[in-house]
Amino acid sequence: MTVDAAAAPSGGHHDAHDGVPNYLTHETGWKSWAFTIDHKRIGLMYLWSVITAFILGGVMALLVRTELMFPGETLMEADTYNQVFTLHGAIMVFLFIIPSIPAALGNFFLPIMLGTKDVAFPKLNLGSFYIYVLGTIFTLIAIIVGNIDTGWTFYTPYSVGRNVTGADVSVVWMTLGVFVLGFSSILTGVNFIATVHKMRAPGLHWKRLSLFIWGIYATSVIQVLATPVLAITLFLLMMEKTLSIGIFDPQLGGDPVLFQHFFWFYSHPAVYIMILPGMAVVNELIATFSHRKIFGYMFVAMSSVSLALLGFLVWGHHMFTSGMSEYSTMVFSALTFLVAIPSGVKIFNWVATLYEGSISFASPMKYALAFIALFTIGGLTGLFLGILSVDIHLHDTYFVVAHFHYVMVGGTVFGFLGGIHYWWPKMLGKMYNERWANVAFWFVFVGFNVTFMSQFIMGSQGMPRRYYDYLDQFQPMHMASSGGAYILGVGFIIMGINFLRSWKSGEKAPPNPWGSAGYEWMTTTPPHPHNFAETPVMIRGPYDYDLCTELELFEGFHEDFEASKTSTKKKKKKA
Amino acid sequence: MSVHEHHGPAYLAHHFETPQQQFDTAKLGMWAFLAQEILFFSGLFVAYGIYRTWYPEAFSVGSHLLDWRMGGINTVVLLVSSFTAAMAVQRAQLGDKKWTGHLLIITFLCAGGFMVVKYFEYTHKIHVGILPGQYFGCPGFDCSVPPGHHFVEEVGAAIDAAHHNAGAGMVPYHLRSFFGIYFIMTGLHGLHVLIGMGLIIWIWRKNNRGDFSPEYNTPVDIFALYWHLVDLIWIFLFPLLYLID
Amino acid sequence: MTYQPPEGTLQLPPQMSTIAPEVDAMYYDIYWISVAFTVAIYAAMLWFMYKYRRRPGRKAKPTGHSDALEIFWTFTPLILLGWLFHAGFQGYIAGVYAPEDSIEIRVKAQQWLWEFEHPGGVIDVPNELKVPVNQPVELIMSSADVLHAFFVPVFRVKRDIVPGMYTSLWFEATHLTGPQTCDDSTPCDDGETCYWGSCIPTCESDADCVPALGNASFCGGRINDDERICAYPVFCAEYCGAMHDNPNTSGAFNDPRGLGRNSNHSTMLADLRVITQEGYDSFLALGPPPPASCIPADDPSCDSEECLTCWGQVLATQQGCPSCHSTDGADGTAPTWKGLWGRDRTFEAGVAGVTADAAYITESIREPQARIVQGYTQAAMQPFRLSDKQIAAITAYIRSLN
Ligand code: HEA
Ligand code: HEA
Ligand code: HEC
Ligand code: CUA
Ligand SMILES: [Cu+2]
Repeated sequence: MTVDAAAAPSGGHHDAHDGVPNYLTHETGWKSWAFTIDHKRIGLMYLWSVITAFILGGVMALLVRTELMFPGETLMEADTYNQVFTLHGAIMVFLFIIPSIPAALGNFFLPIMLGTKDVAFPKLNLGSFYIYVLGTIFTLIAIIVGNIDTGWTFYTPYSVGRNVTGADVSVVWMTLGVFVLGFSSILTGVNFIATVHKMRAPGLHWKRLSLFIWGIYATSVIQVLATPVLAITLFLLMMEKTLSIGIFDPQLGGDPVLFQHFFWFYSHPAVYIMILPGMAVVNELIATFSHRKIFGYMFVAMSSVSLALLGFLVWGHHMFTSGMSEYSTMVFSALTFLVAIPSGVKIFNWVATLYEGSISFASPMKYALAFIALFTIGGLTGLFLGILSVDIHLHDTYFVVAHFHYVMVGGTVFGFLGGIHYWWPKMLGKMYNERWANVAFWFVFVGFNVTFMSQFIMGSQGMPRRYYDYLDQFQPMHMASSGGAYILGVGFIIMGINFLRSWKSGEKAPPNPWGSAGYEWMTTTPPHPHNFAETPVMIRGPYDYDLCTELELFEGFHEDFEASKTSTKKKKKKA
Repeated sequence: MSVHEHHGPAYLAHHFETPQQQFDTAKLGMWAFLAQEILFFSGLFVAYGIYRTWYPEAFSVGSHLLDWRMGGINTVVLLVSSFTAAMAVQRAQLGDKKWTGHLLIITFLCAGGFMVVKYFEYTHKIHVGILPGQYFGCPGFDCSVPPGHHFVEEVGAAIDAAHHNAGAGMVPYHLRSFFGIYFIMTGLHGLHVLIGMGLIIWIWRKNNRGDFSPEYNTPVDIFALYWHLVDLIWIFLFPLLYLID
Repeated sequence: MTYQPPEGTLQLPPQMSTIAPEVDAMYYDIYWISVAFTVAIYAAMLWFMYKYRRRPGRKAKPTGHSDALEIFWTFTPLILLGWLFHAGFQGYIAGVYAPEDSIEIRVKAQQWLWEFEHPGGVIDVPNELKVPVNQPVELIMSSADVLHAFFVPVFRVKRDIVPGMYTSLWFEATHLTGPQTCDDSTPCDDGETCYWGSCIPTCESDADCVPALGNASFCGGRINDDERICAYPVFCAEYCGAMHDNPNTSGAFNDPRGLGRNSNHSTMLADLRVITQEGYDSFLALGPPPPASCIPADDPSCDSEECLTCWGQVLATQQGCPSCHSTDGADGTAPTWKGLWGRDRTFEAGVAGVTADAAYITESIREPQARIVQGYTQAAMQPFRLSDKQIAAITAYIRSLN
């Protein structure tokens, strides 16, 4: 097992640490991972899993981009292409981005930031992980047994594939996989909600919660309330496919538009399952690297909650051309604009936090700043799509593809990467090479913009999405987009090597390398198996930099004081 | 585990500070879970609502093919079991191990009774061929044999009953969708009953072991919450499926 | 006659319909609003990043808070958003209800081709949509299998086509898609033939002329060899799959353009031609023009027996007649066409002595059940809606089989 190696990549190195137990080394052997109920270990197992899924989805993306470099057949047949983009979308959404931040980083840090020993239901937490694994297995079966080429949206009647050229039985496996993955997501949400409500350390009242926790909490609410609807939708789809019950198949008297309503009732809220955790991470990064509490803390916290709730009311904006009534389109369009407000509140408050801060540009912060820049573009182009008359033209073109990559990659993935860079030292106790991290950042940032900016242009010019082949007029833009994707790929490879090297032979991480006031930096590095040797009492907020001494910020807290001096050196160099 | 410095009574898990906290957390978690259960079923109710409006004829005939007496018995049985589950909670809170056990058994028997009735309903439908989707009119899921006279008689009678006079109409095509919805809804509900029965066994054994006390009876309480929801869903399913005209 | 196609911008294709300018105005409104917000946010960010970069001896100021500021940036955008919604909705509603005087064209979408049925039942060749200029057109659309979507970028219209229901959409084209009016005194340019008042490209085959996915440069529409626009694309915007089972099947269904490629969602393209009202009227009267490859240079309106025969053969294949009628004398489910012309027919009803002439063949196509040939009662031929000229072509073809 890969995760096992994490425990002791460099022998006794960790234990050299004056006897303070840490969660990586206090138990060893594969069983100590496979049956662990420690949220930190489960978080790490999720982390490796979602990274694997991301690489898989990323390779699919590169195949897509290579095929689209030229019109006509470049690499593969139309049929194969359709499977590749379907798998790209499905893997990225269901296996990667939904569990990414909440299940990996959230699992690891939520209890620590709450000052508690574990999540509310540790066994359930491990259960969720194995349900995730089971769902993944079903998904892989779908890939092996047939050609799953429905798009990640599984629209009927194509996905039912009866009496028409359509998808085959692999749809049943795929939807079963996603169905199962959904329960993993639901149970994680249930767990987090109970944890946040009931397990806060003494002194940690709601107004002191880290904004990371507010974000994850809002996400959990959506996970619990939206995912079951997807589950039942997919269940009905499986029944339609196997028993022909006539719910979604028009040939049997069913309604394909009903499927779309059901699907988006989940999948729009799901986009906030994706972005809220990204925003949650960015809050931590902006605060830490500006050495300042987030401006308008309560407004930012409430904006997460209101995004979660408003997110339930706008699903119809994916269906403006579907043949819904005009009244529905009107209501959905109006509500769509409302979600811009809480998103805007976040952006404005982040920018205001920079004002009069003391800003460091370490690699995690670069991702956070890039998040703001890219999410602004992604979000504003979402408004283009919310405008009824404009969406009619842009729907199902590359403009939409560019929009959602700007929010999902430019937003969530950048937030995730920022979070990994930020917490890597805490999680594994190792530093990575900052210079290479910066190089990777620039590759990813530039590559990303080249890839998807060109897609905005071809999209508004009318290039439809899910096209294997295209008119010559779109060639230059497709070429640029593919080139960008390769740059992006190089960036990820550099980043991957950097992390692998750190993991194997990285410098030992100081307890608080970034000089953060966040609660998670108050414990030892890597954390104690119970997070804190003793239940902490929170006497200040996680962003109260003015209440921390210089020494605390740069040397770490508590018992770890003299553990390391390296951090000061690093900081001085930066400044 | 060397790092386990333990505190408090045995039932208190290591990551909780007080039994009260543990209880509140479990309860909140269960409520969150029930919220997802409701949304899970609500998708089905929406589908039901839409197709009932579209195909009132098929739904009316379909409902006449269901035996309201069987459904009625099951409703009563589940209501009783909900009541005994609530009683079990109260007994457990009082530390009455004996009656907690008895009440759990009664609840279990009611749940079992419910499943037995369901079993007879299902086997009869399978035998006759009143099945969902493409298997409608296929006795025993075998579409190579034509529907037998049972099928013809039953469906004919239901059509007559739905029209309040004899020889009134044809077999509505969308009966197959009605039975699709019927089997999915009652099937998923039945699955919940089975899971509930499993939970009862688990709690009953804990009770026998003497795990519960006035201080600690969370599992009984949590189970009862779940059981009430299962009951509640049936309270909606019964009239919507069996009693429409 | 020189023809200037309208031009697009970097972001948007040419505007060819009445609603296109409105949609574009809306697009640019939100575009500039977005640019303004983006620039403001970036500028503030960069300025703060520079001014408050971490320096020795400078500490961050503790964060204050300002409810006024929060309320300001919560509610001000709301006004802007309210306006955006309102304007967008109006533009949308304008595109929903077709004007009273619209003509109706029925669209049938299937994997993976388009079929357009014009008023009077004239069905054009697959993947070809002709519409008159300056005339509202309403499309009534249905699908034979899965979801499709009708999308014309230059019109800024799109609508899903949902199996089991009809959806509709309307537009009014404002520009011709090519130099269209022609007669003996105003001939077409090279590479085009004047046919029924319209210039249509002359090419060896459809594939040459319409490089649907080929390799000519593009200027908003498709072009023929002479870099002249002859059509704009109609896309299928809703994903509708590809063939997996047997990649080698060919034929009209799988490869309607004869491009030697398998069809799928991305090749489900139709040619949009906006033509003059006169051209459209004659199209309605006469049916779709013959394939360019049948038209000889000296006979642009295809009156010669030779041209008609060539066209008739193409038409018969397109309409699927050979699936029942053989041309080699073998009688199958239907009587063979070989030697049919001029022969005496005997019918089920017993009538005899009718000669197979033009009038009889016309009747047999339009009302096949009127008189049934003796011995052919197992298979029933459906009536076909073909224009007089098309029937003349098929008749010529049948005649040529003697
Ligand atoms: C992380 C995921 C994510 C996020 C956060 C969003 C956010 C938004 N999305 Fe996006 N969206 C997707 C993922 C996401 N989307 C996906 C995956 C699809 C396609 C699915 C598919 O078909 O496969 C999609 C498709 C999609 C459509 C359907 C397009 C179509 O198919 O025709 C629409 C239409 O309204 C839309 C709108 C929006 C809006 C209004 C927001 C808003 O939340 C954005 C709000 C943010 C801002 C507006 C920017 C910051 C605000 C300010 C700076 C304030 C000031 C601004 C003003 C007052 C103007 N999205
Ligand atoms: C989280 C979600 C997510 C992410 C991250 C991405 C990432 C990317 N996506 Fe994807 N995409 C979707 C979600 C996502 N996408 C969805 C939902 C769809 C719609 C599907 C549908 O229509 O059904 C879609 C569709 C989609 C299309 C449209 C296909 C079509 O309509 O025909 C395209 C085309 O360019 C594309 C490209 C890319 C690219 C270039 C990336 C890049 O950002 C990818 C970058 C990653 C890599 C390049 C991998 C790098 C890793 C390595 C090289 C290994 C490193 C080694 C070690 C660490 C050891 N995506
Ligand atoms: C479904 C099979 C079928 C198809 C397809 C079909 N036909 Fe026929 N056709 C018949 C049959 C059967 C008859 C004989 C019965 C009758 O006269 O209706 C017939 C008769 C005819 C006749 C009269 C022949 C005679 O011997 O007198 C003509 C002419 C004709 N068809 C033309 C066409 C044309 C043109 C098409 C295509 C546009 C076409 N048919 C397509 C089945 C078909
Ligand atoms: Cu038809 Cu896509
Ligand atoms: Cu959405």
